Amino acid sequence: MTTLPEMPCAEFVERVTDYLEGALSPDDLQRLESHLAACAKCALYLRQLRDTLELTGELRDEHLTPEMRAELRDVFARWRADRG
Amino acid sequence: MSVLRTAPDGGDREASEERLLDRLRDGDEAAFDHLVVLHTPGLLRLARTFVSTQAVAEEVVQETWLGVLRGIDRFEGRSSLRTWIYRILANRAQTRGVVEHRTVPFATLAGRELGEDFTAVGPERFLPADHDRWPHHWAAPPRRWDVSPEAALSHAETLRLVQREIAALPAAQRAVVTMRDLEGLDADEVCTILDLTAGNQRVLLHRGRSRIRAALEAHLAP
Repeated sequence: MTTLPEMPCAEFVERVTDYLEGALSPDDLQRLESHLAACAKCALYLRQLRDTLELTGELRDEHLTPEMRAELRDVFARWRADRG
Repeated sequence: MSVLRTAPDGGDREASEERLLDRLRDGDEAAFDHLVVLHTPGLLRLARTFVSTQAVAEEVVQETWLGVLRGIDRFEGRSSLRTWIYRILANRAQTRGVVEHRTVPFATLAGRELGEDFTAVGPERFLPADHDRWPHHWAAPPRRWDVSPEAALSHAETLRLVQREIAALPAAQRAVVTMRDLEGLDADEVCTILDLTAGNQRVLLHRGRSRIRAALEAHLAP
């Protein structure tokens, strides 16, 4: 796709991660933001992507089995004994 | 316990890490236990992206912690403690995976994925380049997804769907999405841990995230 002065939707969906990561050049940032302000469909796309990230974050599970924790205590005890 | 609290980035973090490291070098079990509780769940998730079973992943995590303890005197704080620990895990897990002939080196996987054609959204959903008014604009716009209590999928089912989609991602994308969006590591940390350039890290993240969004659209939009 040649670079159009205004960012088309097909380009928006490929640049949106660079946008969220703060990795766009000032020119492209300006092109993306003016497109976003004018295009409700791409605004919806961006919201869905943010929802996706939020849902992914909810999968974070901090559970640690007591067995694993006990095994790691043993690892530590052996290391400390070797260290003298 | 306040001394052990994970501080935000910057001087606080360095100071609290320094104290934690001093206690660890002195053989303080509580300091080790604190780190174990904080990082083991995330280490296990990352290990699973490199090896095929939970049992092997657990072994790799144990080896990682032993590696951390043995290396603790050499840790100089050039990266954060977390980045250093994850990097040890990534190295161990890859060695293990390669030895088991279960995986090729991460760099090879990443290279393959980066070389593939990819579009976040199927090209058929955009108007053609020669469209007189709106070339490359939506022909079939994103379908709004239903997250109301009456939706096709409950919240728990939606989360399971996301989990399945992450598991089904190509390995390098799975590793990057897991670390960035699940563990909440920042881009620089992931680049250091996986030896990726900033640009390649973003491409893998983009592809992984786009695939999960597409799957959610397919399942949640009425």
